[in-house]
Amino acid sequence: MKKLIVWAMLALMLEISLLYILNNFVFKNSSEFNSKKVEVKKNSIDSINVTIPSDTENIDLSYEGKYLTYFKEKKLYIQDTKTGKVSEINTKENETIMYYKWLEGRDLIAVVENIKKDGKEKVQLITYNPLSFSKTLVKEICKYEKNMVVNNMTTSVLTNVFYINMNNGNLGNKVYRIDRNDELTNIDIKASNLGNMQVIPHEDRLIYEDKINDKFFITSPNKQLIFNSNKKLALLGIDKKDVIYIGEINGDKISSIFYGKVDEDTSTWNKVTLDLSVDKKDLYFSDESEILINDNLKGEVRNITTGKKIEYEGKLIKIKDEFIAIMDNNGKLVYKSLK
Amino acid sequence: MNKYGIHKKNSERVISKPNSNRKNKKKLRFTNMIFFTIFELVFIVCTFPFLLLYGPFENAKRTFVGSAMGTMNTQYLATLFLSEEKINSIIGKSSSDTENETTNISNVKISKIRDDSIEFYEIADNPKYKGYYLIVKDPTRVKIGVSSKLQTEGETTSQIAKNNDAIASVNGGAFVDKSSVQWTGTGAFPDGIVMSDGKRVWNSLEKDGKTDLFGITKEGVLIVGKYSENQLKELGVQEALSFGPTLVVNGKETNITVDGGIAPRTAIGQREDGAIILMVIDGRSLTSLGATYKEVQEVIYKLGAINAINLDGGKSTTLYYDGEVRNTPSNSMGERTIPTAVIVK
Repeated sequence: MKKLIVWAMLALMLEISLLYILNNFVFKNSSEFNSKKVEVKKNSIDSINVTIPSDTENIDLSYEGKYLTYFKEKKLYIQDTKTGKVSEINTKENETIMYYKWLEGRDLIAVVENIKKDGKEKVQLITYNPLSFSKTLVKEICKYEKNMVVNNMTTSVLTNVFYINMNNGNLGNKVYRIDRNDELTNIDIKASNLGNMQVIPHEDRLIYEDKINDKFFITSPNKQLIFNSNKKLALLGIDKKDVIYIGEINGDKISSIFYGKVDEDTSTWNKVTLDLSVDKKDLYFSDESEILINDNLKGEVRNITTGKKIEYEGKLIKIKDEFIAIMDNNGKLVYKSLK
Repeated sequence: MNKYGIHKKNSERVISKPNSNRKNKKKLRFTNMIFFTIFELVFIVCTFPFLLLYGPFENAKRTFVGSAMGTMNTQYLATLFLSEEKINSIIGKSSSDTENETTNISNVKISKIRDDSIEFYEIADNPKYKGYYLIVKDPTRVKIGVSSKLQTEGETTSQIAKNNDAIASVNGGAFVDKSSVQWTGTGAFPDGIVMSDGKRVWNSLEKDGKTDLFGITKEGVLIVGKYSENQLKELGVQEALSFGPTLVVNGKETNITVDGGIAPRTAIGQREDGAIILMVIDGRSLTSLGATYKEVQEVIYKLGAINAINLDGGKSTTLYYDGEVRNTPSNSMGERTIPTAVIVK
C-alpha cells in the first residue's frame, strides 16, 4: 500500500511538471519575432533542357512538367527540367523506395518506402517536396515482410485519400486507405486476385477488378458493376470528371472501351470500338473525358474524340492533359503542346 | 550405482538453491517493474485529463480544449470530459457578442500615387512558429478569387491564383463539406458571404444576416467586423470573404473571447497607409507548432495593421507568391483544395 502511494505521488509529480512546462513555456503566448526580407530568385530560363540518362526506369513527370523523375540503380532521381539540376531523394537512413507517384496539381511526390526503425523494418508513406528537398512522414503503414511489393497506389487530391495495394507473395493483397486526418484503415477487398484499382476523384469510392473472376467492384457502399460483354475485361482508368473506362480485351490488347459514371446503369454506358487494338499503356483519358491513343510506330498521338493528331519523333514518355513528353533521338526531353 | 546420481542430484540442489533464489529475485524485480509501469500508465491515463481540464494550468487547458474543438474529428477529446457550458467558458463563444465595432473607413489614408510593389518577408526567430507575409502597397490589387468549378470541386490556392493571372494568393474564406464519406469533402462550397468584382458569389446567411468578414471597397479600404450583404453594397465593397475572429479594428486590438488552440493560421490586415498585409503562420510540424489567435493578433498588430481579421487556418493555410507555394502547408497532400482565396492581381 505504501508503495502504491509513493508510485502515485511519483506519477502526479511527473504529470504536474509536464503540465507546468506546457503551461509556462510551450503554450505561453509569444509574439516576439523578426522580419526578414526574402528576395525571390527568378528563374530566367524558360526552355527545358534535359538529357535523359540511359538505363533509367519508371520515368515520370510532375503535373506541369516542371520536374522529371526516374529510377536508376534503385535510386530515385529528380531533375528540374529547366535548370537541368538533378537531385536524389535522400536515403540516409537506408530507406528503399518501393513505389512513387506524382500527385496531381501540385509539385509533390507520394513515396512508399521501406525503412529500418528501432530495429524493425517498416513500410511508410511519405511525401517529398522537390523545391525544398524535404520529406514529410504521412503514415507508417505496416511491418515490412520479405518480398513485399507495392502493386499500385491511387490518390485523389480532392478528397485527400491515398489507397495503397501491397502484396507479399503468400499472404496476398492488402489495400490500405489513408485519409485527410492521416487515419489508416484496411479496405475489405472482395477480389481473390486484385488487379487494377482506381479511386474516384470527387467521391471517396474505390473501383477495382478481380482478375481471376473478371469482376468489378466499387466500395462505400460495396457494389458489383456488371457489364454486358462476353470478352475479358480490364479496368483501364478514370478521368478527372469521374468517368470510368473499362476495356474489352482481344488477345492482350484493348479492342473496345466502355465508359460511364458509377451512378449510371452500366447498360447505359457508352461504348467505342477502336480501329486497331491497342496496348493498355498507350491509352490516355483527358480531363475533358476524351480518349487519346499513342501509336509508337507511326509516331503520333491521336485524340479519337476530336480527331486531332500530334506527330512526334522519338519515344513517347508520357501523355499529360496539356502536352506530351517525348525523348527525341538524341535522348533529349521535348514537350509538345496538345492544345 | 546411485551414489553418483544422488550425489549429483544433491550437488545440483545445493548449487541450484542460490541460483533459483537469484532467479526468483530477478523475477520478482521484473514483475515489480511491469506492475509499476502498468500502474503508472493507468494512473496517468486516469488522472491526467482531470489534472489538465480541472487543474490550475490555464494556458494548457485553453490550448488543449481550443485545439481539440478547432478540428471536427478531435472534438470528442474535449466533449468526453467537459460539458458544453464548461467548454464555452474555457474557450469562449465562437461569436463575440460584446464587440460589434466595425472599421471606420476614414482612418485609412490611401495615397493617390499608386505604388505597385510587393514585398515578401519571413517571420523568423520565434521559438514556436515560423511564418511569411506579403506587403501589397496598392490595396486595389487585392481581390477575391474563386474556384473555377465552384460547387463541383475546390481548387488549390495557387491554382486559383494562376487561373486569375494573380502574382500572389493566400487561402481564404470559410467552407462547408458535403460528402457521403467523412472528411472527404473537396472544398467546393463556400460559407457566409463571398463577393468578387462587386458581385455576390455566395451568401448562405438569412436575409440581412451578419457575419464576421472582411471587405475591400472600390478605393481599396479594408473593412473588418460583422456586416450584412446590404451593408457591404452601401459601402461600395467590391470584394468580401467570411471568417473570423476580427483581430484589429480602428487601430485597437480586439478582445478575443474565443480560443482556437495552436494551429496554422492565415490573416489579412491593412496598414494606415493603405498597404495590405497577407500573412501565414505554419503549424503542426516540429519546426513550427502554430499560433493562437492572440499571437496572430499581436504579430499583425506589430506589423502595423489598423484593421485585421483571421482567415481560415489549419490544413488550408497556404501562401503562394511568384510561381511557388512559399510556406509549408500542414496537409498531407500539400495544398488543400478550397472554394475561395485572396489574390493579388
